[in-house]
Amino acid sequence: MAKATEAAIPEPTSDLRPESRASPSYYLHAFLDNFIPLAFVLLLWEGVARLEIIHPALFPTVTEIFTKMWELTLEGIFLRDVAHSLLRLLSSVFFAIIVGTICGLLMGTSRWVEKIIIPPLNFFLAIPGIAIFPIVILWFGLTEKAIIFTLSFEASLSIMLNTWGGVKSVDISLINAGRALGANDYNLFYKVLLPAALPSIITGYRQGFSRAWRILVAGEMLASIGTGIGFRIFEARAFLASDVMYAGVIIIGILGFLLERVALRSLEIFTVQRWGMVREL
Amino acid sequence: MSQLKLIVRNLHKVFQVDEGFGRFSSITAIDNVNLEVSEGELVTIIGPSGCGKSTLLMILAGLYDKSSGEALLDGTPINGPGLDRGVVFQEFALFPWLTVRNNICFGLKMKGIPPSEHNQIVKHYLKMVKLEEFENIFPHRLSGGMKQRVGIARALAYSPKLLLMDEPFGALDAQTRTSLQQMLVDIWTETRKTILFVTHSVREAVFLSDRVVVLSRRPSRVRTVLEVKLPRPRQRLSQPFLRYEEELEELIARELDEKSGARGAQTA
Repeated sequence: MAKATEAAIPEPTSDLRPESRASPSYYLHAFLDNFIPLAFVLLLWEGVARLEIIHPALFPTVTEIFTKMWELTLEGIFLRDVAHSLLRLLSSVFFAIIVGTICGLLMGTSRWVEKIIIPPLNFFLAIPGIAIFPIVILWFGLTEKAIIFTLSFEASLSIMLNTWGGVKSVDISLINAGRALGANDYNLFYKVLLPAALPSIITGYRQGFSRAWRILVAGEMLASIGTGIGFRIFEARAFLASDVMYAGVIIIGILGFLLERVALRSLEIFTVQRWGMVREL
Repeated sequence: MSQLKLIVRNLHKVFQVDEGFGRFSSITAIDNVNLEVSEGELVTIIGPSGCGKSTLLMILAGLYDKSSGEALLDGTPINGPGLDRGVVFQEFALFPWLTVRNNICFGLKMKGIPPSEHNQIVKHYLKMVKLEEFENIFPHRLSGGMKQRVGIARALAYSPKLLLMDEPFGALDAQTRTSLQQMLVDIWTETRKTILFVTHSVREAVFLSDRVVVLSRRPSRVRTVLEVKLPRPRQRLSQPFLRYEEELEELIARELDEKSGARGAQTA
């Protein structure tokens, strides 16, 4: 398609660019670009740890950490932890997306909803979600519900704020165009305001997700819930199992990276980036 | 004389301006505008910058409310936007999340034209603006001139009675501007649409119009209506063309010179 359109440019001022399509070698390069600096850090770590300047119980070698990671994976412990953490995270983000998007859209389209919600929203945004966790535990006990409630609360605020901002900042000329083209309020909302606000809404989802992810780990530690990566790290502390703790931290890093870059970024690439509403990276 | 398409009588527009701290003041943008456009006529509105010409067009599009007076399209009062008018915006205002094709289909869907006819209509109007190959492309991949051609196709596709154009070529470079002016004249010759066109370019006005409506400074009134009696196709560098340009320039310059505003000035 890209080739055909390029050939058919009728005027010299047009700036049609061929569709940017990555080749396999592009991915290989991207992988190596990220992997080589990481490998260097790991090698350095291994070397320093082997010198035993710091006590091995505090600073285990990379080989020990990865061996432990492998053992825990074989025992099925890590997989279960990862699955439980992800389940908590995803169900929280799911609730947050529903509540946050609906409230954000209402705020963006109704003046009095906006007036009522903005002051408390700004106040709650100033509170780190983990601060309300002890109170939530009073309500729900040391349960899944407590974690999911706190995460949903935290994530929904970011989503609400971004969705509201997105709707409010929709280019007035697009709204005018929609009205001139005969859109009633319903169509104006679904066919103009919503897609036009989508870049902000997706940013809200990403922000909400990363706020939830940060609190999840702390929540699992505080709730002593029995499973989850956060719990695993916290529990390992009691046994001075530093290799488990390091392994847990590395898993958290890998998971967070994959979720953010792969899952949420793809959503952006297939929507707003394809439409040219955000700049390609 | 041919049938009157658009009649504007004693149109008046006052804006409420929020000065902050709870204070409001009102600004009269349009004082008293009277205007008649005949079926199939191409009329441009010109005036000093900030004179309210775009406001007038937006009122006719139904996107702004008027304060008093009336505007009739085929005898029906204009109150709010409607598919009997097509609007082309200076900032193109294409929907970035829709392909060229779906941008054009937007109005067709709103009008309730059966989907089976969409394909033929889209092809027809894309051919008219010479963009047949770009049907399935997203707008951000088009140049400014191409975007506005889609804007024109989108506004024409649902067959409005009147085409309103708000400085549609103002954001384009000079060459693209010239070629789009020619394209518009061709489209107008082919479709015989009634077109009301706002511009700040004297040359554009002389090239396009049957009549040029010169507005005064704000609050706007119709200062003069100049009939452009040049045969088409018009030559931009011909003597008569340049004389019209000069005459219009003078009229507008006189508007800008008047320190006291519009009232009381005499026109030639």
